[in-house]
Amino acid sequence: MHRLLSRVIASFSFPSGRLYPVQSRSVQGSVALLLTFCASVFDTVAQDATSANAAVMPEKHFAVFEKYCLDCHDADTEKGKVNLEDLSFNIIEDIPTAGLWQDILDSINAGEMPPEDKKQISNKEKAELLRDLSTRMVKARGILSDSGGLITMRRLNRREYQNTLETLLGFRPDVSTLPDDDSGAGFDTAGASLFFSSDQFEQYRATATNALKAVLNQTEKPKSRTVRIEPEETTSKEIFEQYEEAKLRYEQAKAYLSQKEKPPTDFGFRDDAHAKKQFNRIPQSQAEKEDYIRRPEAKTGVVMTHSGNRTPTVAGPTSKGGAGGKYILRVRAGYYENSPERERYLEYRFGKGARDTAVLGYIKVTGTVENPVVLEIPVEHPPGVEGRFTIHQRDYKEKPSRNYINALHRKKNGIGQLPSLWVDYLEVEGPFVDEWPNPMLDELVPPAEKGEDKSNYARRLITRFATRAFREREPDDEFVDKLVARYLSKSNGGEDSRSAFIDSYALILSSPGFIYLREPREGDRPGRLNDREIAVRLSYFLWSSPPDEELLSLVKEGTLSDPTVLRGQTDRLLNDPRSDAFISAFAHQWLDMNRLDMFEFSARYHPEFDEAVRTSARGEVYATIRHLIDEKLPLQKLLKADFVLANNILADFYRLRGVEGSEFRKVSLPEDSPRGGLLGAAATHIMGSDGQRSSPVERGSWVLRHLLNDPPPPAPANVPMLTRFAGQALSARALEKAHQEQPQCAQCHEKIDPIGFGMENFTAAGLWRDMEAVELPVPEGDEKKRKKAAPQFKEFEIDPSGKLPRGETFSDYYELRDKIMGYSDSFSRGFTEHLIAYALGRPYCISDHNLATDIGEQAAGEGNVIPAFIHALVQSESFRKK
Amino acid sequence: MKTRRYFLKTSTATIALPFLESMGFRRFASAASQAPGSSPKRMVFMGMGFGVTASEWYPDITTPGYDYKLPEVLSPLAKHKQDITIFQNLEHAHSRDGHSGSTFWLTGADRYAIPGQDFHNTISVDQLAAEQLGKETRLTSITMDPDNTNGHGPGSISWNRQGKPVAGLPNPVALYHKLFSGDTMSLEERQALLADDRSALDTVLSDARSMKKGLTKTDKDKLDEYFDSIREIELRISKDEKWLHVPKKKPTDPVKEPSQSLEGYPEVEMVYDLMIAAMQVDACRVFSYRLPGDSFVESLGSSYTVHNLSHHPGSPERTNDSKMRDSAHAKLVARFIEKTKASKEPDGSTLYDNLALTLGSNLRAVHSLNNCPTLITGGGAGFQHGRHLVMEKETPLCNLWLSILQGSGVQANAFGDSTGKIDELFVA
Repeated sequence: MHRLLSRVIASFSFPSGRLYPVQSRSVQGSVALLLTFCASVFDTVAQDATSANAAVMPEKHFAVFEKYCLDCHDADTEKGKVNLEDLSFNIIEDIPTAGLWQDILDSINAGEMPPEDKKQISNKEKAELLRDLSTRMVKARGILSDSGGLITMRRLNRREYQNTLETLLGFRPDVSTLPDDDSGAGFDTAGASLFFSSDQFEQYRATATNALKAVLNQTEKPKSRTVRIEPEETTSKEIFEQYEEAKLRYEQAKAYLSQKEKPPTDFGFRDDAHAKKQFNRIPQSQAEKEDYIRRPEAKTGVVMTHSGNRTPTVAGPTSKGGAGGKYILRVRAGYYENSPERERYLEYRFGKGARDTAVLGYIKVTGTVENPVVLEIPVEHPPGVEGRFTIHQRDYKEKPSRNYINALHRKKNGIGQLPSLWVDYLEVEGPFVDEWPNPMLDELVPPAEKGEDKSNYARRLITRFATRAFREREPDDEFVDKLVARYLSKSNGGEDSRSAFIDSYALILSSPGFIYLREPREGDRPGRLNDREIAVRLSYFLWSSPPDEELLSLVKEGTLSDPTVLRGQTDRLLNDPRSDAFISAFAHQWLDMNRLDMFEFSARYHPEFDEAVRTSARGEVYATIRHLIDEKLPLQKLLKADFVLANNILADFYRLRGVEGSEFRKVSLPEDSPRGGLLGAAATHIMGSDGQRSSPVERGSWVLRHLLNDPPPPAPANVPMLTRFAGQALSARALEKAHQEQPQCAQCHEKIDPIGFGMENFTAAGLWRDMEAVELPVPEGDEKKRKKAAPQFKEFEIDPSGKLPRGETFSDYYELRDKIMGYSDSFSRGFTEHLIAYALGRPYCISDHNLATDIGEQAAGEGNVIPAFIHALVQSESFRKK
Repeated sequence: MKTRRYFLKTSTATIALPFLESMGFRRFASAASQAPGSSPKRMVFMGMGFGVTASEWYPDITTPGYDYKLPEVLSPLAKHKQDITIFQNLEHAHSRDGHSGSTFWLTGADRYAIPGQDFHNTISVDQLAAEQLGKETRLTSITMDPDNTNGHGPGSISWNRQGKPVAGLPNPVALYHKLFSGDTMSLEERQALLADDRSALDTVLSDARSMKKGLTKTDKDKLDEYFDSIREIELRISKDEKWLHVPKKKPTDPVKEPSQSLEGYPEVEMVYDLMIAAMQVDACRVFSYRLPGDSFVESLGSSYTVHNLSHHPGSPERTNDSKMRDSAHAKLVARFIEKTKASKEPDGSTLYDNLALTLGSNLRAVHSLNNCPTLITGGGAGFQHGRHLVMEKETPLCNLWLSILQGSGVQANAFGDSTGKIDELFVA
């Protein structure tokens, strides 16, 4: 029975396409436990058979069985032991029933039943049967996998581990060697899905040791200094030298080719081909360099020319790890008149090699080459990490994109992409130390008290640190004894006191008391959280961090569970910038934003798009939610708004004027703007594309799933890609027509695709378009030629009309957006369900139905502002239950 | 009494502790007098993540058996057509992760087997084999994981008995040091270090025990993952202690420390060389590898990511680069075959004769999970090669894993959802 249950629950997500019982599956887990909890689920169902937790097939489909199936699968024949005559239409009647329904779905989807030589189900009947069955199977899966609200103890995920270490140690440590818990399925707060792998203990210990060393091994005050890099002595000088070298090499090649006696090696070439290649290639790159060296400003700074395959980089001095801290980058720079706006940004990075550097941000150069400006950029150098700060002009990440654009310009002007920026110098100043000695040292390793012996001293500090790390839970005596014993043995063995404490503290930060958020019960029955546990749950919900002093003092007073106090604290946490951790993590996972990074874009098709746009598109979503919280605006502004949150990069991309600076701010939109809200956000369109073309299917599914709270059943696996259209230039709408041909596809796509068509006025990168440009196919064998040439397009009229699930039709994007406003209750509901899952650390269950309804009603009573949803959840019984 | 062992819950199948100066090690000392057929069996699993160019990689399905045309993209293996077997129609019944080429490839597990939990896995075939084959060697198994989950899916390619991911080594440099670099510390220092590690484990366990009170069944299961982790580290320390006195053996063809900068094709080439060197000194018998994706195709001159390549149908450029990647893997396997055929075992056989190497993935192409690409070579499991084996549709891939296990002398009656071994493999 258990095997079947697991198969049923599992296979709803992707039908496996077979009608045979799976053999000899290894059985894991406790059958007894499962039986109990299934029974309780069925009890709930029996008591409250509302539509929300029922999965009953309409009786009319029995006619299909009678007509096409019962010849073989009636009660007498039971071919393949399948009896459809006595099958209950209540799918969740019992597990075998649900299993059989899943098999029916799979075998009809796969075209296995009815067999080829038997009468086939008509397309209309098949489509209706599959539609009803697939949506009910999704519901049945929800009912059968309901955990009844049981929360599994969870460990800190990687984000939380990092934030928690930051709170304890006073700086943001590097945690990149820990496993990333963003699995792309469910939230990273779900305890049941957060695993502990075999070497994870060692990873925690190593991470914690490095972080502790960075704080405790500081002995000297870091000296602040200012280093100025004059690029005419570094980067620019190299370009001059490269020019001279290439000139010489060209002369050599010419000399070799003009004679016949001497071998190529005499001229410094490997062979004949090498010399010829140089002779042919050099003039092209020299044209770029000639344009460079003729510029007087190249002798007083560096011109951000397209050199080699990217613009030059100016690098600050490399630091060998050390204490880290705050730095200032000072750049004197100017842009060239007539240069495109989007190229007037400097990208600044930190890292070691070219491969390991991380982009820290972008800053727009506001002065000209004649009248340069000095820009100041505050940055942080992570402690204990070796690296350097670098700057260069904003550009495409992918080499082919850079080369392609450069070649286009070269074709026009004979030189290549002309420079947009000039940099006079880069100054790196720091580190700036706020307080010395670091107050954290006294916090972590205060000196021994008078008359305190070594053992008592160690015990006092270890107990204190462990209590803090364990979120005010006293550590176990035996644990402390062992830590003290280790400390003494190390200290007596000649290690200095701080190293010995690093060892003890690192073990505390790798022990289960720290790693797991534990909410033990008093007896066998579920109970209420005590105040300390409420504080922990609340702060990890809204900050992804441990409770701060104020929360802990309320715990001590015993007043946190007072509804008014709790409400006040919830507001305080939400208004604190630390709640950005909640906004980004929740929005990223709620809206499936990992899709945003899935595809690369080529400048061949989307020259306006680059990584700066991608980062800003993500930022828009987070900043919008932040804005709604801060300004107490209704959640529905995410469906439509007369403003966007934009920084200068995104404003350039959206062609909005007057936005200066890299921080996001509210920008009002004209009435006819397609922007504002998630439907107009570039992030949404990028996620609904493959990096080249828009995908009405992805966009339609995303809208159904996230805005209408009506997720389509998962696509059946193993459906072949539509390759028969390869080699034809067809509009997206024409391509999707293929979905209408098979009833298996049509039953879902007739709901999905029409929504996506309404968004066809946005390119894959999220820019507005009036025509759909589709690249003309290139005859096979011509791929190389195509890589160099500009793409040839065929243009199609866009037909943005379509319809929504309840049958509302729309004629264009604007109408689609307005009509989706009619689904604002569904949108709130979806938001609420995801909020419950994120906050409680377990999947949303059908038994949460009433909780979600209560939250939705309370929030509606308060104008649907986001804090109202959060208050209703925090004040609910479920939030306080363990 | 409640000793540490008490809390390190013993699972149904206890992992055998390695024996000091084991048979395997003594065997080395007396290699010259070794009887034929006594060389150890070895296994290699190479996971290709996002899969292959499906339209090009498989032979014509209507030409099963010996008389088939090797597909163009596999032409680097032409010389070894008699040494390889290409399968069609092997798959895992429970696979549904369209971006996970490795996560369930060697396990066949059902991700959703536990209600209310969105991830579940079971032991992988390499780890099951290593429990037996790895007893006699310094390293029980080697998993290579170049920190690139793209196309491979979450976790690892290798999963332990608790269904938790086995951590891999990131690059050839790490593998080299693990296998061959000498110890700079004295024996006493190394012993002290291991003892210190043991005491650290003992310390955190006391905290773990204090946490048990008031936990529900599912909470306790979670905490058990922590105990399991500690237990595994303890086993490793025990093994390390037993091998402390045995110096690392150098292969006859000396290997140099690889460069840090190897990426993509040359990186895979180096890992293969090091695996072969490890076999030559019998430091390890079971290997698994999540082959690099993006860096691999980049090193071949492609400007696409492997994810974009997996969406190749319809795009001539992507298809072209995807084929290029497939051929490069074929070339590397051909080289592996040549090198292992040239390497003699003490009993006169070659490494090739005692090896079972599988190149494949849970993903075919795009996001399809059926007819998983599977190519196998080596004489270790007693397979008869040279054929294109077109199986019945939906034949469990686990039948192949079971065949490799049984053919290599690993005791197993079933594996995953296997329904039996693939008999064709054992008869010509």
